[in-house]
Amino acid sequence: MSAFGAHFRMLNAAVLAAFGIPVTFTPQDGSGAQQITGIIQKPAMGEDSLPGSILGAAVVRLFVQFTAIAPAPQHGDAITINGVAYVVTDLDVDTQGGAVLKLRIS
Amino acid sequence: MLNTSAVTDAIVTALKTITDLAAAMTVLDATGATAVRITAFHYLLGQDHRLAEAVYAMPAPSMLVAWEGSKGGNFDGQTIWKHRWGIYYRMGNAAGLAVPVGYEDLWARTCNGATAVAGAAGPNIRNIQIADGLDIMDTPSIDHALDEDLVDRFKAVFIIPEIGDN
Repeated sequence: MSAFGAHFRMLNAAVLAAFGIPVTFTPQDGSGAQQITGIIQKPAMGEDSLPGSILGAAVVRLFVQFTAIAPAPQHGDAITINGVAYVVTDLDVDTQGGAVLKLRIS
Repeated sequence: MLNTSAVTDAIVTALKTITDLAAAMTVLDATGATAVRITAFHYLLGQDHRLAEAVYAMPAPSMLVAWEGSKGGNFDGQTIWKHRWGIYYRMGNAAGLAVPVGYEDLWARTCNGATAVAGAAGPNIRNIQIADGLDIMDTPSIDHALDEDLVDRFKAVFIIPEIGDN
């Protein structure tokens, strides 16, 4: 990978280390739940609740280091934030190994 | 003219009596109890979200029923009001399911499933009087839509004529 790509991976890692929160990722392949780190991003529409609060926001955009997660997240996987269960409804994977997971409360 | 608020609730009640539709909208809530996620929206400032946010925030699966206007006019000798409701759909997560229930299935169940408004299995929702003072609905419609994250959703429209002027 180019130096540009390596720099992006370092940037993603640094940003996730500084601002990331732990969430539980449960892939649908049955390989078991695992903790990953993500950053909650500004959603398409503001809601009345904090994402992952007891009455959590219904829609969450979660930035993750896509290439560091195995198995790779896909539609229909489950993500739990502070005990609130979400389903991955869409993924926007960027060219540098990051991705925004679009989550909807289930 | 009828108060459409009560009719909104009556539509929700009728939809919940469609067994396989209600089953597709049933989840376990936070306490472990079952909940049928077919709900009404009433534009109650201070109690409800704005409609756009309520639709945006619909969990998967769920359905939301909202009155969206009434058309007045001399439609025929006994009809001067036609009331319109939007029925918003969010399907559940189909991952890993051998028999997933998609939007096509939900719409078929909505249109064709037997209702049980009076307690016993009756005609489908297109052919029942949903509330006193209403005629049976005009043939309903449904259209594809995209949400703010460009994820698929569907919205049906029920147009129900009022009998006379109540």
